Amino acid sequence: MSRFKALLDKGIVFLDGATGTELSKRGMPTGVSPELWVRDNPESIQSVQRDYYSAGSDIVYSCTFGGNRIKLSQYTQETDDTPQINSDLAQISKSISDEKLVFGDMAPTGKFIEPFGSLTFDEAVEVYREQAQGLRDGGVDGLVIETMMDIQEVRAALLGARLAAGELPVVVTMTFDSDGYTLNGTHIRSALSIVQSMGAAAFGCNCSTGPAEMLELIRLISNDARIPLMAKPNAGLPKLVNGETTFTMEPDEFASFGKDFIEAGVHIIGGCCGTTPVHIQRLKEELTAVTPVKRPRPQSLILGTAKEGVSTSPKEPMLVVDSSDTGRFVQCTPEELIKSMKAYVIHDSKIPLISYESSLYKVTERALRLYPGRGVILTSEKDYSEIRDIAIRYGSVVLFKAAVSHPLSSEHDTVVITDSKIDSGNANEEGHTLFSAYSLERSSSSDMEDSELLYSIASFYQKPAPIIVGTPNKKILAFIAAYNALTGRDHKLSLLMKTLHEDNRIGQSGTESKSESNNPVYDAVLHGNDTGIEAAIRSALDIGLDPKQIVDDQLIPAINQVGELYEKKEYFLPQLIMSADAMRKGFTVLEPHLAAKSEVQKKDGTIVIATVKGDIHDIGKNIVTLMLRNYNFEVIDLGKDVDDETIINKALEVNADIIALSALMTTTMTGMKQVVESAKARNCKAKIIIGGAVVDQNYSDEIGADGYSPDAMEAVKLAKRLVANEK
Amino acid sequence: MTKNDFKLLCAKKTVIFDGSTGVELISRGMTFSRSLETALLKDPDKLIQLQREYCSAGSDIIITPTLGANRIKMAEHGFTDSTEDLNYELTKLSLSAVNDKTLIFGDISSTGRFVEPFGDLEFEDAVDTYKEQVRGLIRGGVEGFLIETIIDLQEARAALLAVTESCDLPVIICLSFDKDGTTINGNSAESVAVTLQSLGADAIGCNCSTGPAEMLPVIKRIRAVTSLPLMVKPNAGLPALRDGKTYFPMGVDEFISFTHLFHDAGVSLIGGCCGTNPDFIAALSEQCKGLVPISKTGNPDSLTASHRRVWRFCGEQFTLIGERINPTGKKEFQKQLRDGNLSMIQTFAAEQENLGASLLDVNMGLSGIDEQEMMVKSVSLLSKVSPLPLCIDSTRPEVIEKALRIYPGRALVNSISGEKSRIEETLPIAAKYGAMLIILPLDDNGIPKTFEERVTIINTIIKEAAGYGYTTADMVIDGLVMTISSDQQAAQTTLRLISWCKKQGINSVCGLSNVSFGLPQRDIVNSAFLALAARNGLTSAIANPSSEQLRGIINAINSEGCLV
Amino acid sequence: MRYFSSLPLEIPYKQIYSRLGYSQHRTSLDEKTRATIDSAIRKGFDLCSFQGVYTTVKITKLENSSFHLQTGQLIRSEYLAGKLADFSSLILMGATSGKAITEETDRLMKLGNNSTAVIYDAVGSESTDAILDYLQKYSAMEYARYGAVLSKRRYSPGYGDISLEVQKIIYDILNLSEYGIFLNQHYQLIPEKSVLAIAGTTYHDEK
Repeated sequence: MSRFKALLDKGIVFLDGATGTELSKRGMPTGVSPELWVRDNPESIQSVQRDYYSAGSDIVYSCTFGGNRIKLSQYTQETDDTPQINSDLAQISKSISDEKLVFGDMAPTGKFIEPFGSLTFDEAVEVYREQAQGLRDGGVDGLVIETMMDIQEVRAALLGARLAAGELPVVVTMTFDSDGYTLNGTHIRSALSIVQSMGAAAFGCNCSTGPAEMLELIRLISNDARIPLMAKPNAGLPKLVNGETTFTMEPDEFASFGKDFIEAGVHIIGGCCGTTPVHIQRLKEELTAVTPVKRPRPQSLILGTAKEGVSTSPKEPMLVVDSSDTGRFVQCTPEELIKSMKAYVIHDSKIPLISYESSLYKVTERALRLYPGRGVILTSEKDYSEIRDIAIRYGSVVLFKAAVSHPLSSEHDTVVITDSKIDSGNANEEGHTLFSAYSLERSSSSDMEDSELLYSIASFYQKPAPIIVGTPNKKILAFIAAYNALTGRDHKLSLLMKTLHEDNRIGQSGTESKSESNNPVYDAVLHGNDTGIEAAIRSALDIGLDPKQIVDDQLIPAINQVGELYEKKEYFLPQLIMSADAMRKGFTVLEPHLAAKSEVQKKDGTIVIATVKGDIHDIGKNIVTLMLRNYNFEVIDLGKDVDDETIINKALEVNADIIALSALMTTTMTGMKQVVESAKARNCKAKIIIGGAVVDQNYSDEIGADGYSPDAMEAVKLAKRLVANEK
Repeated sequence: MTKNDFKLLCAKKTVIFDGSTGVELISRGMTFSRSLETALLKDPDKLIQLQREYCSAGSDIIITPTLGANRIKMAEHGFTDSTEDLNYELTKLSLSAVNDKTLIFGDISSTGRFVEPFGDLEFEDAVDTYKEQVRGLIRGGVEGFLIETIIDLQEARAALLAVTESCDLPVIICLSFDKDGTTINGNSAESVAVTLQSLGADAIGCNCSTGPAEMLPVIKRIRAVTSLPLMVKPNAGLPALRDGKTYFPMGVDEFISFTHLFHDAGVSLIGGCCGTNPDFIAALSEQCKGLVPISKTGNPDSLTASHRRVWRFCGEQFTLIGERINPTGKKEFQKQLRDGNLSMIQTFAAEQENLGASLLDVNMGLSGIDEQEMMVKSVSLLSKVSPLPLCIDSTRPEVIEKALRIYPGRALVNSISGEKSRIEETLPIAAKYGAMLIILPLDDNGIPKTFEERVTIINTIIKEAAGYGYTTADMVIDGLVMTISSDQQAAQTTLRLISWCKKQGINSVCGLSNVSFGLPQRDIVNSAFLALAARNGLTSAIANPSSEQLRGIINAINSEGCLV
Repeated sequence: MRYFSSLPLEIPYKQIYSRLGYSQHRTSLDEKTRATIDSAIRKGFDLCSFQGVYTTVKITKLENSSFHLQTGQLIRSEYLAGKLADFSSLILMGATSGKAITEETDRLMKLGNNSTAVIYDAVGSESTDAILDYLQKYSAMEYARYGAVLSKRRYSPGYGDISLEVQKIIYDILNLSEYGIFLNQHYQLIPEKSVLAIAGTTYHDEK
């Protein structure tokens, strides 16, 4: 640790640049494992690294990017040699490093880890432990985990590295797009919080973007980083020029970003794809006499997750830690745990795992180990010693429900619930590892008035990182939204408008309480209420309304209205279908009543509908069928993959007015032509209309069909028109 | 004598006044058919004898025999000559009775009629009547004034203004309180003290009506709210009836036994009223030889008063100033005002008081009405129907002048900004009536967005106001919160300003509703802002007490204890 | 060849809504209905099991709008030839959301719950598309290390003049049968929510 630390203390630390392209220049062929090739051709990498050292690099990376067992297995059977391979490669670099440093490079395995992937977490940890072991034996001065886009993989790598080489500094850089997210959706701020809480010695970005974009990424985290920041950008973005890929940024332009990076808080800087020793040299020159900036102490608490995480700081809303659901993972078997964890991360991905009392520490450990984020451990002073190590190992936050008397570790974040009456100056000093929070649970037991509680919460806004623990009711949430907005923690007041607006609407759940509607059946169709329509129809029948009346005065006008709304795009497809489903259901309820009164509606026409031969898409057809039936057509649905003979047979049998055909593929649309010809040949008088994504009016004209409609509503109109014309 | 000399005198020694004049003269056989005053002109000997005796007994100050010598009282006796001359003559009489060491102060007392809004005597008429008397006394050569035996605060104000608007001589004002510390008209000792000290009295106290035992607790209450020199002039006990005649039973020894208690209470001016005579004074004088008044000062800071109650900003409770008496946005109220109907004012006042308001803001700014006239009417009405002190809200100096002149209390003026017209016109007016000030940190350049600009303006105003004798204890600084819907920093700037006020030890206020303009559920936003502001040290707010949320927060603030 | 047996996708709400015809400015959707639709989207998403695979094939020559692939096949398309002339290789991608989503869609339609069915259908289609987005980004990152670049867009058979027969070529090269994906005689992929695509790259993967 000390050599690296000495470098940091001295000033800006320079890394190397791209290696792959440099090795290609020195004869490395494409398609081979760089690790294995370099092992056989050590002078190649040594030449590259000498160039970088001369250019000004303080640290170079060993040539072990793909040196983990899983990646190596693509090139060799002898994966048990992995530690040796890494050790050798480390030595190759170390032997020419003199006073400078070599960091052991560890990078993605290419496999996804549970709960998302097939690789178990423990297996992943072991893969990295093994590689780290080899690198350490080879004499590296530190380890770098780079080009990572999966936070779970980063965690496994950090744990593996710590197991094998706990005394070495481990730095982490990840790959983010210009929006600040990894490909797997982890936000950079979230990743930072996880990595720094798990003991990394530095954090930053590499690859994927050029310096301009990466600068913005650094700016997203410079207020929150408690460890030194790293940047290793590409030489701009790759472009295709005259059939050749080039990274367009020249050394001078690349170096010109140097000062901005340092100003933004970067302490360790280098280059990635497309950079050369010249880039590093120019960068170093640009930064002579520039010293790393002393950043103000971070005041944020970030609970990172695999997505965005939640956080609080002077410019962010109060953090609400809902501790009501702490038993979530208690009863799980290991298999269930994976499944639940996966679902939890997908659907609840903004909320960090809240663990439970430490008396179940084995289960706690298992869940926290697997959770791809920072968890919160609720504990008491008595149980603290049991979970302390778990918290440090997995970067969790420890939450105490009451003031604690003994000294706490500064190696993990701690949140202590305090009495609001304690002046914020008096209580535990706010540092970057110790936070105080207000508890809602405590106050309900002491029978605190709502207003006193709300006033107590206000005092926590004087802290830089206000935190509340408990399940706030609607009123408290409304006040918190107001507090956030008033203290500059709600950009553009968007959260305030959302909270208070929704409240308004919930308060006037009037659309239901205004349920004294004059037209419950009409409304049920209009609002797509297929659960309520049955009751609405029954009550309409009960008060003596004629079934036919219900159809004519309520159902049909309703669906017409829905159709209009759909055309104006005020309703979109799900709303149209919900209404149609409701109407369908209504009809089903009414049918027996209509039959009883011999008021069965005379249909406006008979239609035979099918998806043509070879084509199995039928959703579109089903929707058209649904709408046509709602509009009083008799529809015979022959299903999908139907040949022309069957279709014509049926049409003749029922004396169909219209044949409707659907096709969604260029290879099957010819089936429509066949139907047209077959109809002519067999003297079937039915009008033929077509629909489907691959056809259009032109095609309809071309094959001699009678019409085309782009969607269900148009189909209804078309059908009505054709039938009317015939009359 | 100058006011300053008077102040020094009161600090140096316990000043002895004289004893009873009228009652003593009668017991010495003085008779009169009409008024005592005119009788004295005809037959001065007994008076001169009495005053010589007081002089030898040790009185430092003797008062002119002009208790009833105001035009209105004299008219009751059919007097139609010049009151001014009458006072002049009587003063001359007293001067002839005393030696060089004794001071003569002009005695002024009640007209016998009640002054508006509590009675039918117009305020300016009352002032003019007193001014007439004052002119005569000054011409006669008095060194100062004692306004005494007044039973109504409004009358006291009229008399006090008559003196201060006529000369720079020191003026002492004593009211008659019953034993529970209120005047017959319901003015509390505190409201009297606060109102009159802000109006320019040089000393305050009690006289007549009660003996020393009853007067002691009252003077203590007055001391609690003022740092001015205190005066007591008790009767020789409570009057009793003997042989169909009133007499005062307390003897000299018992009377002077209270002296050390008065001394401990901080009194520096002592005399005797009905039932006392030169013997009392001699004994008193002997007792008080070498007795230097203790410098026990009260706390006059940040007090507003109605004629019945006082309210201290940031005493034990948060100050809620009810905002509803303001026609803006109230269609029905506007209509009624235009029709000259003030009944809603009364309703608003009662409602707000019930819901916990401590002061009432009054604003009559509305097109189609005479703001000045309506303000005076409102203030008069509210003085009668509500015990709450008022906050006079107007942008026009003449409106504020009329309101402050008629208001029987000490008002809060809303507001003094850094604008030239406010500093040059409104500030002197407020200073004349000694009103408390709401300071608005804006100037002719508009509303400053930054904290620093606001502080600069505030300091400027403080400096200007200091020129009129104001300290920051008389000020409440408006945080000037703008709506966060147009400027998201608005609330924070104000919170920072409020924090600054707390650090400086100055009261602060905010018009809460501003912060939520344009947002949904304004009530919640306003109440939330109040909570945050109170945490930063806010001591008062102008708001609508109808809000349950708001009241809840105020209760919470009060249960934790006020801050400054 | 890179194969993913599962993928950490986010639910593509915006694309799903768009596909169902939602217009931010015109569609009026109340909170309750939105919540119902969102819930259906989540359920549909949970039914999906995502798989993705891609590989790069060198173009030995481009002649007469035909791409001669190193694996021996020929892809003929004027459209593609115009778009991808500058690239030295083609990257072939395949994606599927599994069959459960389609089976459930059919089942719901039979029961008359067409509204949920329509939502599931959209979820399946957009999710499959999202897999391809992922594969494209992932491969771009991977190849960038070697100085290679990808075409911005990707192209699927059945669009432009890229005939459906090309499906078979891609299918064979990617060996999709190994992952439970089938191609019928009409060049239709089973499960229904599967899709193949082509992009261009300058990466030379000689393995």
